Amino acid sequence: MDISFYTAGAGARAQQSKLDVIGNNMSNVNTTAYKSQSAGFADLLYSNIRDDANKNTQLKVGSGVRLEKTDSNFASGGPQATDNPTDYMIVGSGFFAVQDPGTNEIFYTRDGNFRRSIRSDGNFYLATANGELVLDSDLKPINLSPKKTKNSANNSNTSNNSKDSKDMEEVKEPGVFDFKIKDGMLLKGNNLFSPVAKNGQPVLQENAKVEKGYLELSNVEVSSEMSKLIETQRAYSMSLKMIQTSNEIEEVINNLR
Amino acid sequence: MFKGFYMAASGMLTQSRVLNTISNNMSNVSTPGYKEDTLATTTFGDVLINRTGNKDKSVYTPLSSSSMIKTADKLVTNYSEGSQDFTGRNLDFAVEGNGFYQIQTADGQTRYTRNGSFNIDRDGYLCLQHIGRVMGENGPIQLGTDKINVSADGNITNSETGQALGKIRLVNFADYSQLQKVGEGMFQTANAVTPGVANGKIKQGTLERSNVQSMDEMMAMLSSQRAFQSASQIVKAYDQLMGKAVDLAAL
Repeated sequence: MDISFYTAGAGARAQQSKLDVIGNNMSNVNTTAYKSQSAGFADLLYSNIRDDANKNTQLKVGSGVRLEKTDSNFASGGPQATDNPTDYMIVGSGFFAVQDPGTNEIFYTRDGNFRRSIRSDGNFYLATANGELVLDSDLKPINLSPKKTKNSANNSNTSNNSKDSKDMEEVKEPGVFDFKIKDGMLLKGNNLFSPVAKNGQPVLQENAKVEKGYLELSNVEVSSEMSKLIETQRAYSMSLKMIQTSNEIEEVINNLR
Repeated sequence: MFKGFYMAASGMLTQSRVLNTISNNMSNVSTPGYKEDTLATTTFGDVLINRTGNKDKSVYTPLSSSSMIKTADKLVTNYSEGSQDFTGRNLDFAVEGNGFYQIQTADGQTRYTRNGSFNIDRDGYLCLQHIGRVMGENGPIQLGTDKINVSADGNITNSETGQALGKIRLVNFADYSQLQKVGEGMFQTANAVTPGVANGKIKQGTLERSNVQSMDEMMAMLSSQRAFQSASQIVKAYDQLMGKAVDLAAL
């Protein structure tokens, strides 16, 4: 049978996957510190029309395209002032380290939308919206409860507004870690990244600038996603048109007699 | 037997092969660095038609030639430059002007490509994912970081420390017909060729789009489809003629 059918099918499928990626970017246009994804394509194998597969001839036919990879764009998003003292934003490169309290696995995120969370030991810790504990520069959870009484903790509200200088000293700031290579970090959902072997060890950024009371916006640019969406949709339609044509060709063959 | 029957059939076969190539172009309309193909067709088994005398066959007058079969000849790749797409990703590179990136595959073979959507492999080398490492002027380029700046002539520097990390090699060929597509955006040369120096400029944060023109592909698709249908009509007409010839026996 005609391979143009399948070639065009592969094209339509790849464009469909690209639409999925774009769709995900567009849904995350308001997700704190979301890093946009881009889809990369590669054409598929070429085979000889007449000769054996391993012969080198000038007469070849390609067999379509596939989605080869998706890459994260780690460009920073803009700042958004929230005036919430447990909101953090990293200026420049780097991640906050957060730890899953169940598995003790450490993930990395740029989403600084933290909150106070009470743990079984009765202390308040800085945690993400999903309950992962935010780690300081020594990879220790950040205990927000002052050593005095719980009452004073409620009164002082947060370390930032606290008049008690002693409390200020107790509370550590979230540590900022960076990787030499960010390419290929695994996306874990919930704004979390997980490093793979090639990303190397996290490096503590001593001089990292962290803004309090700000959140990092998503770095999705709607206008560029929109134009990609239109382009992809047209490419998708074109592949479908080719499938239709291949179908008509088959019909002609079937109507030969 | 009617020879035109086979001519028309070969036309159908060739047009369906042309459609295969068009279909591949259409699928790759957004593949970075993809170069459009055209299936060149040729005639095959040309014969001369002569008029001979009634009795004396040694005297003949050439009338014309007739081609018995139309067939696919070779795949011609259009190496024109695609337009550029700004991606903002610091491992995306487009070549402005001529030149190919040289890639060393895992089994030590050399490939060439215009697709500059690179990644970093697990040993910190600049690589094209699933294919191999990007060659620099002094072998593969070990970056160890993705915070890099690349100048127009391909020199890579660490954007934080300014340390020189290598230079991307761009190569060019005197004759592009030596290149053959092997898939995954890769080209290879049939024979060992020493590539020449390219004068292309590298642009970071940019990818070269496919050079497929969707309008041209649509037109080619339609004309090829119609040519296929015409050939099929001829096949049908011959079939009817043959049917008549067969029916003669029933008289």
